[in-house]
Amino acid sequence: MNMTLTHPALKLEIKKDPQGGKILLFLSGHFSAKTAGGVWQESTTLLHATQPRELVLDVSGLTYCDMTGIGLIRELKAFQGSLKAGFQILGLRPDQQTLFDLVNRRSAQPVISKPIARPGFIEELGRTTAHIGEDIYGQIAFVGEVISQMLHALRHPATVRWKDVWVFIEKGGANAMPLIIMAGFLIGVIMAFQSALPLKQMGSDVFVANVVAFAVLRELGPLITAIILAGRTGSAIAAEIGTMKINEEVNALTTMGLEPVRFLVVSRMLGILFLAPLLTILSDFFGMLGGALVFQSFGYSATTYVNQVTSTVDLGDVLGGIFKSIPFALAIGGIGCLRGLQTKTGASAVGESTTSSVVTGMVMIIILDGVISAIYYALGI
Amino acid sequence: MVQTAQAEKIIEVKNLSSGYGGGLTFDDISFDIKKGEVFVILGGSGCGKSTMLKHLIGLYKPYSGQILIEGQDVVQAEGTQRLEILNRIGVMYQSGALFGSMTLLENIMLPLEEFTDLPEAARRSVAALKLMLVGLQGFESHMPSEISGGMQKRAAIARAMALDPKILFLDEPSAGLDPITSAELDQLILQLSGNLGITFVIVTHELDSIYSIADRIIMLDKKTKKIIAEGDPKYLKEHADNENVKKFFNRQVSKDEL
Repeated sequence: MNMTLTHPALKLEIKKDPQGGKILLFLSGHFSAKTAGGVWQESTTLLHATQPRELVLDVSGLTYCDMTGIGLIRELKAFQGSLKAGFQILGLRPDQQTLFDLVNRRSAQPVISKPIARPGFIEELGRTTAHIGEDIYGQIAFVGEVISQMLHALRHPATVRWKDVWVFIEKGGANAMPLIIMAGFLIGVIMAFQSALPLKQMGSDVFVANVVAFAVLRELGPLITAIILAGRTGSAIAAEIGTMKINEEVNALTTMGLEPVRFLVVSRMLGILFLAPLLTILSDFFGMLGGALVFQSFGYSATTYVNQVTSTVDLGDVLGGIFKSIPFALAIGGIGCLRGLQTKTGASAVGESTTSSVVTGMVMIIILDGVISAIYYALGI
Repeated sequence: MVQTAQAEKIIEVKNLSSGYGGGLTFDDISFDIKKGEVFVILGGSGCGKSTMLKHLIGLYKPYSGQILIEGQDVVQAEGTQRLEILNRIGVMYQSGALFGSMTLLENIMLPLEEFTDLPEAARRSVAALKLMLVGLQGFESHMPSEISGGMQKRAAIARAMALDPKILFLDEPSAGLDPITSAELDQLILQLSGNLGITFVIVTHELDSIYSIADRIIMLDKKTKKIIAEGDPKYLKEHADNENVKKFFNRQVSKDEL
């Protein structure tokens, strides 16, 4: 029985000996990774199906044979070996023989890569618990370290790298202004339109100004600013410190005797603490402006708007809103730095840290906002 | 290694001038690399050895000049023609450049998956074979971050060899390896070059390695921006007329560096 399988440049001829269970494979042509696909499939399937007592591989027709070819020869030989069946190779050129020997010398056994066994449920549970425990421990230790370093910086302002602080304020603050202005303005506009609908039904659309003032100054201004900071600045901190970590720059700082927390974290924390209230004021201002624009389109004067606003909110509301940005800033900056420093190795780890910094940052902002609102309510602010 | 039979040129560099941002790194450089030889690019730090390598593999575009790989211009090539050239070469980068999100085996299987029709089992087997060749059997399922720097380099060589290229470019292969592993790597290079006729283009400083593997070297110079020596390193060690070349091979301190 004769069969032929052709593939561009590589040819496989199969001869079966009907009685003896012997198979002869004749390979000819150019054997490389590019040409080997069909022949590899064909010959291994054939062996698995027939399990011959002896396999004779004639490679004298090969014009070129690279490592892929040697790999197939090895694979066939190993398969025959595993069945304790015969294997014979004919026509291996001396240079191919050297290569084949080289491969066989390296390891007597063929390499069959096994996937790593998946851990069981109990193991997974234990690992996760330990991981969460480590994470909490790390966060507590980090908060402690940051507080102590920040206090140190307050007592010795000369030790702070002010140049870094200003660079950070420029990148994270000045460059964020257009976005903050746009978001703040639109929030004011949106609040005005949304509240106008129900208020108009009651014929009291003059109170749109009160709603906008109350919502923007107490809640939305600081919140939108914090969310933009978390997405824009917190993630940048995590990515930058994370990249430094995988490039061993953090290790370099440590061995130079420079405390990474002092060197990297303090300047960023000071920067974000400085710019968060300023950006909140900016967002508040443009939010009110957006509200005013819509309010005027309803036919009211600017004076009415100011009167309505001042009758609803006082300085305490404005300051209360701005004050909220400080805990937000601490959370965003701290989490960004922590996630950056926790970065493991590899490029994907930086991505994970960045994502984690934004997610944890958002969660912390919402929790803090809830806590602060409860406190304000209790204090009557 | 098999120079006698094949004086055929596999890479030709013709009148290459290049540099960064208007500055000049290479001034009108020409040289050939012959099929099957182990060709080493030498030079002091900052003379542009790695840059030269990146020109040869088409990553950087020169100001002027031609770089031909088997007669095809790498500089001008685009689309399928470029891909065809790239499939004939393998590159090992200085830091390994293994994909951190894949295991070693997956790293090597990637080009096999993209460019061949080998069945999954065959890809696995060929990739494992390449890993074994560089002495990394048993590390198939490891992530690049879980192995040492030297092992990463070897894995990177294995990945460069995935498609059995005709030309292998190695950027500082033995830097950071222990002398035994480094010597084994030299042995591997010689074997691959001798048995498969792979041409090697290597950037390295390791003198021991240069003497044992290099058929021919070129030495680049930072000041003149040209090639200051070309030929057999063993011969150059004894007979170089250029002071700097002599000093390099004999590990002496250069006067102008002091």
